[in-house]
Parts: sequence; structure tokens; C-alpha cells
Amino acid sequence: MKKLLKSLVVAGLVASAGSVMAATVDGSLVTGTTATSTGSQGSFDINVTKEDSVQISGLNSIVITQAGVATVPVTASDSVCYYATTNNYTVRMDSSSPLTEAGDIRLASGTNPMSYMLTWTETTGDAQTASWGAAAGGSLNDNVATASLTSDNKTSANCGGASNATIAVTIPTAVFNAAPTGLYTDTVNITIVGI
Amino acid sequence: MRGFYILALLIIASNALAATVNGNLVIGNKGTASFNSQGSFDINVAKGDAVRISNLNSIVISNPGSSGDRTASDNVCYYATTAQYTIDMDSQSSPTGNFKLVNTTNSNKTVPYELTWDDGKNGTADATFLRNSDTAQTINSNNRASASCQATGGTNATITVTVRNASYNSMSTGLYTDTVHITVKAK
Repeated sequence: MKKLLKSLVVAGLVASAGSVMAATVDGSLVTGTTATSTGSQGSFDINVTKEDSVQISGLNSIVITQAGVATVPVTASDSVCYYATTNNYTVRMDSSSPLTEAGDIRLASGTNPMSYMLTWTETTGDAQTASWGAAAGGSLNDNVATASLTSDNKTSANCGGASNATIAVTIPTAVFNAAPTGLYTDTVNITIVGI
Repeated sequence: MRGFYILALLIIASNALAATVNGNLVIGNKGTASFNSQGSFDINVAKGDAVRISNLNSIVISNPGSSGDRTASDNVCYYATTAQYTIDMDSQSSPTGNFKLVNTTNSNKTVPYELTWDDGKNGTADATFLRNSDTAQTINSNNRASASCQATGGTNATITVTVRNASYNSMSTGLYTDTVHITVKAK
């Protein structure tokens, strides 16, 4: 029984090695006239594994300088590049502001909050969109991923130096006008997941 | 006249049989100059041409990065006692058309690739192969002495696989493979 088990283990190892190494064989030393007619023949395998890739790049600070009273929503945006070799991807925005609550993403100036909306908009392909910050008109809560979006960029990690999406910040007019003067800030972590 | 015949026979023997001749049985008195038997024999050493390709290993592109052509290489040993040798590489998966790697789970998914052979002597690849129909390349042999490349650490040439950036980007995810047959002939 022990001998049988050993044989099975050896057979398993041979089968496993065979499937991986298969045809990598050195040529024989060939002499005489065969050296010029047939030559020495060997073979080797080539294996290329392509794994999924995803990247968000081209991120910059979004700066809004607005004096006085706003008559329309205050907004600014940044053009970015997303790359996902998978058919689909999701986007998740996570505010770092201490004043942010799940459905209310807030800039902070000390203890003064300023609710705002984050928007993701594809500028190529099927131009899908998503938004965060329900208190300012968005659809998703903070740190919640979008539903599956179709990747329109499976080929260029840097969009060829261009961009294919925008991230926009929008502050409702009433919110902006009601806030005390000051510098309001937040840091948002964005996550792209290939699916 | 008889002496002439004997001379002619000796000449023929020296050409055809060369010098393999048994000595005669000699009977006589020891100490005399003629008391010896002399024969001759041939030594023939024929050194034929020899050739070998060895130290082949699988070539794996496993960490391809995000841009540029994807390449991977294997250092191998060629040996050819002749002044020149020819090298040829043929793909198993693509008997016609350009070399292609085939997805292991969906044979309809393929990606083209190229093979180069470089013996490291002139700073550039000595041969590039794109398809089985490419002609074998003739290259000067720089290793006529060691079948195992002892003088150069076991290898003396490099085989490189290249998947062009555009081709790689168009690939679906997965494992793509091929087996290449390499032939080195003395010339």
C-alpha cells in the first residue's frame, strides 16, 4: 500500500511537471554529416500571463476661489485618466473631512461645514456618470462605490497623455452663500476597481 | 620486366591499402642486419562537424508592466565546429502566418510575437523570426570548442520574445502560450 501510494505521488509529480515544462528540450550533440543536414534541434515554451490592470491618474487639486455671493452653484473640476483592462470598473470616493457624514459630504473650515457634491463623468465612450453627497444633490453616500461602469479605456494606462473623465466639485448656491468666509478643505480618496 | 610489375604493385598498394602491411616471416641469424620483420599500419582520425543547441528554458513574461513592448529572454548555448551555422525557429501553434501565442482557455484569442537570436558579438540581434516560413539565418560560429559553453559560463547566446505594446494592450487577460522548435545546423 505504501509502495502504491509512493507510485501515485511520483506519477502525480511527473504529470504536474509535464503540464508546465512540456516541450522545453535541449538539442542533442550531433556530429558528422547529420550536423549539416538535420542539425541539433531543441524546443522551448513561451508563457505570457496578462493580468487585469487598473489605474487612476492625472489627479490634481481642485481649487475654487469665489468671492461674495454666488448666483449659481459654485463648481470646479479636474480632468483625469482612468484605465481598467477589465470590462467593467467601479469608482469610490471617500472624504477625509472630519465633518463629513454618510449622506452629507462636507468641506471643513474649522468647525464650519460646507456640503458639496462630487461627480464622476466619463468624457469618452458611453459617458457614464456618478455622484456622491446626497445633501448637495448627489446619489451615493460617502465611501460607497458606484454600480458597475463600462470601461472605455482598456488599452492606455495614461490615456495617451490625455484624459477620459472629470471629477467635479459642486457647492449648492444656498450652501455656499450661507457659509461663513474662510478656507474650506477636504481630501478625497478615490478608488477604481476593475471588475 | 618482372621488376617493373613488382614496382607497379607496390605503388598500387601504397595508395589503396596505404601502409597496413604485415611483416614477413624472417628466418636467419640473430645479430645480422637482415634479421628483422617490418610491417606497417594506418592511423585514421576523422573529425566530423558537430553542432548542438542546449540550455533551453521556458521564457516567461510574468510582470509585464503597463507600457512599452513586453519582452523576456533566455540565455542558451550553441555549439558549431564549422565556421558558420544556421539557426531557425518555428512555432508549434502557428504553422502558417505570424507567430502567435494562444490563450489557454480560448484558442480564438491570440497575440502575435517575435523571436530574436543574439550571440552578443555585434551589439544587435543576429536574426529575427516572425513566422515559420522565415529563412534560416547564417551566422559565424563563435563557439567551435565547447559543446556546453564552458568558457562562457554555460551560455553564449540569447533568445528574446517580444510582444509589441499595441498587441499586448489588445489582449484579454489570461495565460497565452506557444512552443518553439529551434534548429541549429553546422554550415
